[in-house]
Amino acid sequence: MKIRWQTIAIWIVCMAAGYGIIYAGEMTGVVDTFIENMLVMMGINIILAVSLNLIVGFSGQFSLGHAGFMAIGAYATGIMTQTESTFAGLIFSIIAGIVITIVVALIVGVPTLRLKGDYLAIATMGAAEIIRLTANNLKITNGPAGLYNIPQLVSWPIVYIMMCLTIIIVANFVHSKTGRAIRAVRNDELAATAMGINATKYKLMAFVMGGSLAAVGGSLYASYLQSIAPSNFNIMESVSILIIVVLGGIGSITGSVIAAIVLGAIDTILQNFGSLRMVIYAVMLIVIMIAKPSGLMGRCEFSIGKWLTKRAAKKQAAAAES
Amino acid sequence: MAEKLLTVRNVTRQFGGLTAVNDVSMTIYDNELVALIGPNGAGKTTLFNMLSGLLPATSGTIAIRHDGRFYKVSGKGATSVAQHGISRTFQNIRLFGDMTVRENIMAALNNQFKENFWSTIFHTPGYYRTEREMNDEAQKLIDRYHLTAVADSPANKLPYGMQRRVEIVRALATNPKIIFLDEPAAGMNPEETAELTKMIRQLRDENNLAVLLIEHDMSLVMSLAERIYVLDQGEVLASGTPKEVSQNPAVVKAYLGGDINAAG
Repeated sequence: MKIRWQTIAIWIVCMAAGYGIIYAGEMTGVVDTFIENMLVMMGINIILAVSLNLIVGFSGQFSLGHAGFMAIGAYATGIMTQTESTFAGLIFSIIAGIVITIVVALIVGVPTLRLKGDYLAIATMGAAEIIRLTANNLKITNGPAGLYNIPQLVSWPIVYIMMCLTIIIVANFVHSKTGRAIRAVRNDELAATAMGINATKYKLMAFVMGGSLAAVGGSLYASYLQSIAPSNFNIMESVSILIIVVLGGIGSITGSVIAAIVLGAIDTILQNFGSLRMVIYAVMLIVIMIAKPSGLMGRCEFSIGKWLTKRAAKKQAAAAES
Repeated sequence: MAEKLLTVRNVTRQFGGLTAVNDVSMTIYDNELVALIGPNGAGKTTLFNMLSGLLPATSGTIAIRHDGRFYKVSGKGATSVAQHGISRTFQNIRLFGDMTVRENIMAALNNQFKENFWSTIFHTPGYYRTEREMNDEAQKLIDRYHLTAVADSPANKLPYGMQRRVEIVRALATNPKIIFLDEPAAGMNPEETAELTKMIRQLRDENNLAVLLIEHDMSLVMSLAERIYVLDQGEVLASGTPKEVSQNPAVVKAYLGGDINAAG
């Protein structure tokens, strides 16, 4: 009981401290527009990577269509905030993006989640391409040119808050009855079904949940960058989110967060190297994957709750000895 | 007289041109300990897979008594079958490898607890209540079947015999009326087998359930089973008490081959 409140308190302090540091940087001018842009992109990438990790890492469904869900959120916000450019309009557009994504994820998920491994990856990739091509050909999405002049309603505090919320939601979801069932299905689908766990339901749940959070990431992306085009949401975008997940460790939220930050920083630093950038980037990825094939964190998580429990147990043992 | 629990009527399963299970009928009563034996390839595991809903039967019906009425298992998915009181273990152990023993058991308790979506993602007090109740329930099973020492280790890190025990307890956690054990003693040494025999008996006596087991270890079958079904080439060759079955000439022939008189 006590440990639970301590854990929550420490996490709140950590999150507030992160906010405070960025805020102080903004005030003192350390964080200029360039760095702020980098931080916001890191935040959005964390949202995307953590949500994809829920699908790939925890439910074990190899999805290559995350950019599709992101596109739905981005276009929902882009279109809606152009006519209703208020904060309420933004919130409403995010919700609309989530609702559309839930519907699409259900339509895509019901037939494709029966597939496994490579087949599922190709099916989800196809679904994302359909979403992209739809945006490419509709009038309301302004075709291949995409949307511009989207009002900038999102600033870094909103991204920061949404990032924290996403991490909290995914972490809580994974550590619950539902999360346990999802992990059981990933471990052994046949055994899970024989234990009365409805595998399809739980796989679909993770898929829809991950997709909806990606839509939120897309909404923030559109509103912050103010212009989007179908080419922003192609297969390369899905792959680059997947790279973050794989690099951080499939099935580790902590890993996704760390990898998003590290890759974001590397990307920014390498911008000075011009066209050599992609080569260096690729070589670094290869080196990391050789040195640590399971990703930076493997399946490990940074958990304050566990640490406190261990410390309490140690204290108790010490007290019992003396 | 105990009531009928599971009825199998003329069940057949074909794989292409091969008939793995042919016209099998059997009845299992409440709280009974039944063994299913037969040579390799006799169709025992295929029958198990049909009984637990993992494999549809080509023809025939399987039904289990649930809440006083007979529920047709054949044609339903494994999830639904499991929710109607049938649980099982597997020949090649299938635990949730990177989850702890406790989590394995709690995952099997899944259907007995309700959880609200919002309390899940925001960890409201309701979430902690459900978690505590599930943990308490799992702890009872852990204590009762002597898994305390390994309760919080990952399942795939455990020794083989222990994994088998965990799998049986996990099957029990779904609160079944009947449990199917597919070769529970395979690969065990005599001491482990003796312990397992005790465990299966305890399982049956304490939980008011029926047990159907496939086993090649005849000493275990003869000491445990109250009734035996013998399967050979997909058909029921004989059934009865261990004594009846072991003296049945057809059974002796199927097991030892050749002439009945030559086999003694």
